[in-house]
Amino acid sequence: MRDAIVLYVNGARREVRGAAAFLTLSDWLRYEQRLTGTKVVCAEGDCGACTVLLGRRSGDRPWRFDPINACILTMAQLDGAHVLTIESVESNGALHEVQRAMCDNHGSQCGFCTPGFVMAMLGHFEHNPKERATPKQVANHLTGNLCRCTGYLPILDAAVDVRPEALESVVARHHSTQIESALDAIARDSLHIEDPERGAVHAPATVSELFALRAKHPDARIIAGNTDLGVMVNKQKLWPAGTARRAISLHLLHELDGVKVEEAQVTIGARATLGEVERAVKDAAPDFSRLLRVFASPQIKNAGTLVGNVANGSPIGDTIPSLYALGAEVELSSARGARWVPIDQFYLGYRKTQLAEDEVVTRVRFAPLGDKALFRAFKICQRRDLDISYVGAAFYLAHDGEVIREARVAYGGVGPTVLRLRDVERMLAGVALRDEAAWERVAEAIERAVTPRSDLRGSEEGRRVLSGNLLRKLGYELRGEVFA
Amino acid sequence: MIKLLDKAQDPSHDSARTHVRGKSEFIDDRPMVAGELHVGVVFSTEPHAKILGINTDAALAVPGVVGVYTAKDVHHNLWGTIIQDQPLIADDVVRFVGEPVAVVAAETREAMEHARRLVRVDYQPLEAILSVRAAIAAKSFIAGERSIARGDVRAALASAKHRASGTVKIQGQDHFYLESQCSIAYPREDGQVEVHSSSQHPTEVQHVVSHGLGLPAHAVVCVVKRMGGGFGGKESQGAPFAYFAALVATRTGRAARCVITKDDDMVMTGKRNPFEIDYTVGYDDDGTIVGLDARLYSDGGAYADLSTSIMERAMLHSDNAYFLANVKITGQVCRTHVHPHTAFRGFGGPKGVAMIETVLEDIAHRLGIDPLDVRKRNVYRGPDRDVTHYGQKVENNLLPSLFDAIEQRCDYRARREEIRAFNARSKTQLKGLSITAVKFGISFTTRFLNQGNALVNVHQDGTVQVSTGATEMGQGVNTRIAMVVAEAFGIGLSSVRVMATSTEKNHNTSPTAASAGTDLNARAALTAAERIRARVAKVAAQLFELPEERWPSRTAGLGTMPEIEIDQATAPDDIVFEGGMVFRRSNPERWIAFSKLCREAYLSRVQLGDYGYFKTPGIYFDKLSGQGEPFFYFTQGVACSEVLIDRLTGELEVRRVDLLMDLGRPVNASLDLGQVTGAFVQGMGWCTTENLVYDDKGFLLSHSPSTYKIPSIQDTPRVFDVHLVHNEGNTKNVRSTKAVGEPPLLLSLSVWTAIKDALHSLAPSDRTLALPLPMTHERILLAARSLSAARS
Ligand SMILES: Cc1cc2nc3c(=O)[nH]c(=O)nc-3n(C[C@H](O)[C@H](O)[C@H](O)COP(=O)(O)OP(=O)(O)OC[C@H]3O[C@@H](n4cnc5c(N)ncnc54)[C@H](O)[C@@H]3O)c2cc1C
Ligand code: FES
Ligand code: FES
Repeated sequence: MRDAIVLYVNGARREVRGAAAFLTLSDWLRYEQRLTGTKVVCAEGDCGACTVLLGRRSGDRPWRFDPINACILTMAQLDGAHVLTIESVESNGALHEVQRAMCDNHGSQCGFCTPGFVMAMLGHFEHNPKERATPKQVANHLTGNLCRCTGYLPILDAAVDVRPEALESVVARHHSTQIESALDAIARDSLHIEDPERGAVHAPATVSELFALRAKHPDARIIAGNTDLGVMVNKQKLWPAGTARRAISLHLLHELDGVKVEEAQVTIGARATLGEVERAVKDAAPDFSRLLRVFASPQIKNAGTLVGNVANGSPIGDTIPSLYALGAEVELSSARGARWVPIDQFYLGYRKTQLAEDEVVTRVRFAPLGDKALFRAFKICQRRDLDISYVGAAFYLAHDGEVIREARVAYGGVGPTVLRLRDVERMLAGVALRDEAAWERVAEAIERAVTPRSDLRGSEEGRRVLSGNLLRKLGYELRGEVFA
Repeated sequence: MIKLLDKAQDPSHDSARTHVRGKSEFIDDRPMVAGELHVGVVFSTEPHAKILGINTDAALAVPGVVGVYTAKDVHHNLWGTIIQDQPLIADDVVRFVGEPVAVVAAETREAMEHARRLVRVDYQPLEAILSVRAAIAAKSFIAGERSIARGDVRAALASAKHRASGTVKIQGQDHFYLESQCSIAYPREDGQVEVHSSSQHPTEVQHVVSHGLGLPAHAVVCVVKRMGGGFGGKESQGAPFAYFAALVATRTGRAARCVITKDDDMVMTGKRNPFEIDYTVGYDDDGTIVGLDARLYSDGGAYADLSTSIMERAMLHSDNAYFLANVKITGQVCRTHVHPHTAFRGFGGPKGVAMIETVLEDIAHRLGIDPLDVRKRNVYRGPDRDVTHYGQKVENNLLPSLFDAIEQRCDYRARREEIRAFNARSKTQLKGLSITAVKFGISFTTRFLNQGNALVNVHQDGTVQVSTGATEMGQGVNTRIAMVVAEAFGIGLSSVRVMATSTEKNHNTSPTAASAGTDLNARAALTAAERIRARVAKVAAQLFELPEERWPSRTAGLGTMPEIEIDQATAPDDIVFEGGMVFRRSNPERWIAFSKLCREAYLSRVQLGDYGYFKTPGIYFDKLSGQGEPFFYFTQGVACSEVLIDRLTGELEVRRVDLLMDLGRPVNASLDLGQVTGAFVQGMGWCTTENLVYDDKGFLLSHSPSTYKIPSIQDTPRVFDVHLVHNEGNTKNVRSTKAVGEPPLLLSLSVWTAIKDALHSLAPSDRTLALPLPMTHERILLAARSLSAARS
């Protein structure tokens, strides 16, 4: 059992114990390490100014460095990881190619967003060092970074100007197999830090240890990617995990890693990040993968987990309608054993689930689509990217090429939980795919069935109209009536 | 005919190399000094209430807390740039949610945050006014009504062939500078205080701090190295936070750091003023406006701040690019119980322009004429239609040719036809296309602000330090000033450094605002540099007459030669400063390095530093009559935007933007282009996604980027073609350049009018659409829905 977090920062080993273990990564870097190049603007994962590269092992796969938001990660999660900050990018005062391109293309004005952009861009080029980037690729990688000065055009120009032949790997400069083996060894030992002021954090190294801890501390909060929790902690200034004084972090549990794609089943572990899921299900559930493309930002998806989205149970959790429509099941496990629960039975009310006190969610699974089925998911926001939906929806339609045989329809953002619209599903069964009038009747029924409320993301009326329209939109798509 | 400027490879921003390495120092990056305290602000949770009592016992009991300060601790508790009506810390009454009621100082941030929540304030709620209409009904105003008029509007409207009336509702906009408000104050000996602030207006910080503390101005120094964005939000509103830090520093004798979180910043600070504009317009069959009567109301929030000046600029820009023969514009600022609204890039300009551009769009729709033709019919054009409603002639008028040029460049007519066909066919989507213009008056409309001073120090190695009142917030003012000075001395840009702005080097500075930072400060710096240049030119002329062994560097130590004397010498007119060398035009073979010359000049006791001063000539504006020549010149431009709307979801995509901007002869065209794209996209946010949502107490619910959505990289137009046009006619300004900071923001209104254009395709010609600003996805969705329902 360890009482210190061990991590590497820009190639150097650091140990963190006591109260500092409860800081966010960005505060620790800025105020404890005096690495002030990492900026904090929003402290909620929405602007990217705090972007750093996080290197760690995922399952038995090689180490991978990806951009994440330092402002919402808690130090405990960095145990066993290697963090690269903006300070690591230059070498002996010489600019890295990404930095050169940003200078030459006037990609920074006030400069406050700039370190975050450089790190996010670097994340792209570390994985794609051989080709010039296209503006579209770049934009997809920089969705998590806000700039208020440039209008982004000069930043896009900069990224496109990065010359593969001049690129040097920053990861290679600072990282090594020695560091990997040192950290892999550390990660086999569980972690426990207590602080009289702030509470406690545990990181079990085995699943059985996890179940024991869970049973012993039913009030403890599970930390997966911390993208929901970190925001709550920052905004309410509550340590270490929202309202709880005790947290159990899953970061050492490689048993919960990974996405397994088999012919009959896709199984997603509790530690699989949304980014991993997006990449893994591209073929098995392309429309679900496409939904994840517009989910949050790359930084959030590199930290946040799909199971975290499910366990968090928000009525606007974006994966949930899709998982309803895909007929997914959730695995709840404890020292007593494991049980699979259909997802539409998992939720009991507003942010209330079936999870017993001693249980954790360990996996989610669903069957890949057959060729006579159609699946379509929507996420509608006030800004097209990096925004929380005000209405989300997913449709699963099994058909024989002409007529719908079976339908599953789920909506988020229009009720206290994600809603499965069973009456609507019944109406859809037997409807011809191209019968516009019938589809219109269903759309109207959806508008009657949903129970939205007004809040700052949208009005009741807007949500109602949108709910019907999403089915109409699907109808137009199926009939080939959408063109641009 | 319009000619485009070639894209040049200009020097990068002077901080670019430190920005990209994370090495640029912002306020909160400064190392903590021993004993430094964290300062937090407790703010009102009531929009309007009497303070019955403030209990600080629990807060003071938190370990690490060293003090809690309230209105009692403020020496002179009223401030305000124009009208002093705002307490630094609320005294007996609070007037908006977010108003400071107490200041907490503690040894750690955690203790400060904790204590902040423990200060208990008892309120007795009073009636709150939370909308412009409620303020009008209650006659709750800031200052009086003002108007600008020409001709006989009443008669013109009465006899007009067509008339239309309507209301334009314009919401505010948060600045969303990435670096939130922050300051650090260091106590200095003998009662002095040094304040480092993220502020566009160090002189105002100096004044507010000195008044609030009861210190003379010479006891307070304000230093501004840089800001992580300003956009007007740090013109006046940075000052209270600097004061809070200074209050703690002087009370405790310890350094004090006041860094506000984004959430608190958004709740506490004012925004772009919301406006409601009622108008009646009269026009001919061909779309010519014959009369316009517009009443502008703005929401000033709880205190005056800059709102009266902002209103003035809105009134002065209600014509935009268009001649209004008979016109009456009245303006009234309303006092409500929300945060005091303030400057934001464009000041009042965008609001006046939004009104006239949407009116033109409606006229076109009703007459069935292309909106571009209606605009061209009304555009300022000599000889009879080129004087503004406030009596200033539009000189160097490129507007008509800019319209022609953009029409050609973006293939307007053909695309108009394609879009018409597309909209007729598509059941799920709509396209819209619109061209709008900008004519933005450059100068502060308050005359005394149009002055600047600069200090230029040339060192013996030929490197130069320049200090001015301009503050750097990303716009590149320092880079432009350095370029102008480097050019004057004929030396490389790396030899010139623009130093942090400080009120001990430059006095009585104006805010870096009104896009005039370069105009005022580069000109002042140039004046100083030219004086120094004239002196060293005289030294050079004499050196060229002497053999090198008799130059001061060989002889001054021993004093064996008479000193080079320049006071009586006539200025040589053929000395050239170029490429780091100084020579006579007639004899370029005999040259001396500028650095060497500086050393010789120093040894000859020739003054190598100087002070420059500049005031903008020939401008005046009588605020009471609404007439004058308030502007030194106009910056002009046009943009064409194409949008695609999903009728079923309301989602919007800005597909293509073509933009032409007249910036005279730019000092640094690359930095200028960055201002253009940045301002345009920022304005797009105001027109589309940026939605300020308040609760029924006037508390801003959308107070962070999770709910307040500024444009992301995906929102930047897919095709974004921006060009500067050739214009060397603005000779009265420094280097014949034109100011750029604000004007391009107004062109983003073409996105808003393009949305209207798209929705007009669903509307019968007798129906005008009163679309608010911004048009969010949801508003587009609901507008499309109700128009489709009305049609079927
Ligand atoms: C900027 C930003 C953008 C976002 N965008 C979106 C978006 O577009 N759509 C969307 O739906 N969400 C979004 N989110 C929310 C969040 O990222 C997702 O909900 C994410 O999936 C949460 O996963 P996590 O691993 O980070 O969860 P955590 O924050 O670690 O945990 C979330 C909750 O689930 C519990 N939990 C986690 N794992 C388990 C487990 N195995 N067993 C039991 N309980 C568990 C935790 O105790 C906690 O209560 C966004 C968040 C941010 C900060
Ligand atoms: S500070 Fe905004 S994402 Fe971290
Ligand atoms: S350069 Fe200022 S926010 Fe990006």
